[in-house]
Amino acid sequence: MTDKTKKQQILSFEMHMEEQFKEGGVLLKTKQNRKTLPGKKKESYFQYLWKHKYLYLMLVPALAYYLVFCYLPMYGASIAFKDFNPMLGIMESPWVGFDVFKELFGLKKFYAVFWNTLRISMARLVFGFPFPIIVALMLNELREGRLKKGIQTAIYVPNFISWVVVGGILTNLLSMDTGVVNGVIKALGFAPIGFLTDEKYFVSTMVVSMIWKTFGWNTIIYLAAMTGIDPQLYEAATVDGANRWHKLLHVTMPCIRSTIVVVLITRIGGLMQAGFEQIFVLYHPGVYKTADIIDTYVYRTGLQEGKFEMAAAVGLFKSIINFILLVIANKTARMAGEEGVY
Amino acid sequence: MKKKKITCLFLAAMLAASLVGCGTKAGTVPGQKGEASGDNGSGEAPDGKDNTGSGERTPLRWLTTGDAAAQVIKGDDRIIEEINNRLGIELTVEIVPEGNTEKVNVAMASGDFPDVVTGDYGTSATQQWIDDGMVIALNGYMDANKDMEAWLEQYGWSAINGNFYGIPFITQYDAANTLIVMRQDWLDHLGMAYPETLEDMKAVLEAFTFGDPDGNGQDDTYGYSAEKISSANATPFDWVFFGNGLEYADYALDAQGHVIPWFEDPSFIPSMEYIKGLWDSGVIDPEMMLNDAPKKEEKFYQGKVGAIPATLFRHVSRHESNLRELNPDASIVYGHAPKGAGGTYGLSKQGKGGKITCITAACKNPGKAAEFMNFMVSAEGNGLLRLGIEGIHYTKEGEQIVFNEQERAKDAFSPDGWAHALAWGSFYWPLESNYIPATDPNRDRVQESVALATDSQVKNLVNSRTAAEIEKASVVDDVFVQYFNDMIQGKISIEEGTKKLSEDWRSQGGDEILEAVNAIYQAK
Amino acid sequence: MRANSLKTIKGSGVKGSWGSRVFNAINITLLILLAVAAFYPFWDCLVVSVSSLKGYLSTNVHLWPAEWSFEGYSYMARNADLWISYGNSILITLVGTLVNMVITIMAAYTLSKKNLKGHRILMFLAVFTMMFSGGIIPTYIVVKDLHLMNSLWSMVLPSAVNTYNLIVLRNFFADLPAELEEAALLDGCTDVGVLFRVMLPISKPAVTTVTLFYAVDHWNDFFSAIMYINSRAKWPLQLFLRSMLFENDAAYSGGGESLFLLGQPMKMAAVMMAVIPIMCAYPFFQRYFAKGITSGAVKG
Repeated sequence: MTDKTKKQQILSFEMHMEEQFKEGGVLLKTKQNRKTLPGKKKESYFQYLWKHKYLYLMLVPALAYYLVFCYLPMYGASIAFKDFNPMLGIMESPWVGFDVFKELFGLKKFYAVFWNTLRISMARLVFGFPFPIIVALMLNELREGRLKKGIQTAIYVPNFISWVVVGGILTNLLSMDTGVVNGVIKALGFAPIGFLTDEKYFVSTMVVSMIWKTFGWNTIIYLAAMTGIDPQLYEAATVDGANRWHKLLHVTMPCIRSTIVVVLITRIGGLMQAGFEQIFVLYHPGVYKTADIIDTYVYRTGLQEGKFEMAAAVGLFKSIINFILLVIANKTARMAGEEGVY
Repeated sequence: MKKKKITCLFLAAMLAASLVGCGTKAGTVPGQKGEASGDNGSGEAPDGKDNTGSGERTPLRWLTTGDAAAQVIKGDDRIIEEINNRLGIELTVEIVPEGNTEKVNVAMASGDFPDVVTGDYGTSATQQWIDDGMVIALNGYMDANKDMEAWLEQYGWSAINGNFYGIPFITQYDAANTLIVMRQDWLDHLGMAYPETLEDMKAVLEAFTFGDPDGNGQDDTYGYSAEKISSANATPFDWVFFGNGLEYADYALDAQGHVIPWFEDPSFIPSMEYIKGLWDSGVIDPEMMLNDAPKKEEKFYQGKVGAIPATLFRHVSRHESNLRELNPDASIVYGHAPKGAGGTYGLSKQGKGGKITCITAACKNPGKAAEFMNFMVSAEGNGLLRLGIEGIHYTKEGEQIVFNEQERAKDAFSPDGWAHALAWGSFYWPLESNYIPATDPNRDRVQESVALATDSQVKNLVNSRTAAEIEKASVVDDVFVQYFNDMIQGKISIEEGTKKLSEDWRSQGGDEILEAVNAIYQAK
Repeated sequence: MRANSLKTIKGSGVKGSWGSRVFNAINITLLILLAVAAFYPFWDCLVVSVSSLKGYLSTNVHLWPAEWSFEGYSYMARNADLWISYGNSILITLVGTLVNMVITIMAAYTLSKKNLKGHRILMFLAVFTMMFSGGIIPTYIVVKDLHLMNSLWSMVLPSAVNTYNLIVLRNFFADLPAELEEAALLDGCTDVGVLFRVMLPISKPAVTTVTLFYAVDHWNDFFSAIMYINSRAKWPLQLFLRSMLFENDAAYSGGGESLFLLGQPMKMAAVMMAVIPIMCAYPFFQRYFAKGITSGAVKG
């Protein structure tokens, strides 16, 4: 088979795919093939509701949940602007404006820990987000059922072991004197590296170990998305002479794209969460400069002992940033023709 | 049509399920044993309606963090029954799992008040209870409750404007259990003795590191390890500061008699130089900052380090037996903290934190609640919680008390004569009451360790925690920890670090703390 | 036609080009390496949990027990509360996940209808709660006012919907081909009928995934138990095991001193007792990951 014919085949395959998209046949993720709900122009709102009463009715339990357990307690966020007095309750406590925020932003270390949070989060996103997708794709290429299942089970277990425990194991593995990793490094003739003690390496260690612990669990959602792909698409691609790489690129990826986008958007909307538990278990004053994040700092400075106003202010601050990021990410996704999370 | 019906039914069932969820409480609970709380123990303050046949008794609900190490209180506990009978109350004890104070704080902040509550002394949360009137002053109840009065007099400094808002229980107030523990066999091997002075200590730690103390021919040991530093109140090297003449545990006094932060004391710089000297010479475990308490002990047991500051008291036997798992010939030794040139020494600091037990503003019968608290700190209550009921939990043979362990185990007593779960954490701990069972094989050594540790304990200049301290201490603590670490690791010189530490510490709230502390100190 | 082409694919798959075989080899090697790396923490814990204290202390890398001991397991198994808490956890996980799934499936299906009025604003309102919450105090008050305190429902209802899971499931539904629904609707099914009779059977991978996510959340939850549960008889497993570990750790702090300092092997036994049930449950879930929609179902 010459290169030329190969190219032609790819081309024809791509056209075939496009056609399928256009036809609105078996394909997913197309706007045209949604079930069209007939909406007559002059329909009253009530009529519309009545017509789709079952659909709306199915929303009732979820609505009730969100109302009672999410929106009803939302007034509690106002503690951030109050001098909270439990005897008066949240609503009756006197307002103090932005005093608590002034105190928060007045903390000398606040900006340092804010940037640390963003930096660590970004690193986790850039390296940690694609990794499970790659592993899921690799698993998808695996034809041996039993091996595949075994690997899947093996990679998903560390998710269930808490950071306190994994932290202990990591400390052993990375120890400069007795650790296996430094053992290898020393055997290769290099100086041992203080993965956990040196502030130069600590953050990278955090990022890598976070990936190590969570990648398997994070593949599940992509694997499930891949299972949903219609085998006919692969068949058609094969008929058109596509190789595995082409199929990955032109069948698998487009089919899990919406899942990838959704996960990405929610991760971006969680950027202010830089992994409190992990860092809290492993960090120490020697690495505060690079690894101290908002959550660890406010925890250390007494949040846990009942500073509710400050806790609310920190929470609100993080929420607003997360929210802005999420809205931007969602908007961008929608502009790119994706559906986004809302 | 059928489908519609099914759908409707399904939805109705769904909604009903969630509604039922709100209504039922115990319906789904398997094998509920009838908790101490009776049949509900929920957040509602029962108006005396929930108990049957004990109408005249005052219901009291006590929310406490208790102590995670205590035994579990079961529903039919005879000690609680006995207290109920003696005081005419119906006691409900809610011990929060894991000693989680957050639960207590959240319950209180949500207006879910018990009658009696135990929280962390000297924290924002308990300060708020007092400031916002969530707990009542005990002064009016002291005349009728002499034991409580006596206890409070002992903690006279805890009064705020003359008012006592709770019974404080300060951890390690006048007893300590930490000493520097060493490998006796290593010392023997090196021909050295347990160090008396800071200079001796340096020599021993160096020999532990470079003198092949385990005789395996390998350079695989360190002199000293400890836990990672978590607050300014406890550095791994407090013994250096005290050895160099630091006088008090919490603050220092300048020449004019004003209170200053302890790191502005003249002892600080020579101490830091000593510590940095140890660090630079490589006798300190370079991964000390990764240690938690178990990891620290593990390194000691594994023969990787020769000296650690460790809790003793009941742990004496444990340290030795764990050490012997790998090194059957090993033994441990401990002694006074090393003395400095001036002959001063010290290791642990007198406690400033702990628990405080208060009566809430929602308590319907504060008189009864005070009576209950009085009972808990009385000799009578102490006896009941330690020994149990005579004839059931123990018998007297002359002066000798003989425990009936079988009966005691039924009622949340810890084995070997240790106290009932109700006593733990809120009013007593074994160390504080210096109680060691007669059956303990290591009794003499245990008592010796506590005597030595208590002797090496350094007292506070000011015992109370001021509002300014509660508000700001954690932030300025953090400033200290950072500079302390940077100075040892050589990221900043000791002179410069000390200067900057003072500036930062003072500007970020330290000055306010000093002002308040000075006011209290000068008033004394 | 179809059958023919299928054969061709299989044929070419088996033969495989040289490049394909190299790829397979590299792929398998990499995956096995990853699996070993990821499996190590679990293996380490497992080995420690069946080691004696001596065996544990003798090395820092635990590949095989240097000296066997089941002290930790037998110590915990003697505690009757362990079995009660197992029962509680299983009950909470089953009931909780069922409630989660019923509510989430119904909501996700409705919200997957892109032409339905209001679906976007509703979705936005759900997403909003991922970012903003009122904090622990008002939530505590709600739980208390609903009389859920000290009830197992307090571990179920406050987390009845997880928005992330809702989004995931909605996303899956939205990706399903529409012809099936249309056909079913024409047959006279209601929307509810379509959902439960047509859509669910072909969304097994997605539903299983979300079920797994929910079940794991319930299984691992301990915080709501600390907050809302007073009586020990209602403790979930995680809280029971944590309290055992905590009891152990409390001993190290200055004040409290535990009588039971059994060391790391017992701690790891506690960790294993929580992890192993979920490991055993995984293959059950995995079965459904393998069964995707088939072309037959789509063509229906």
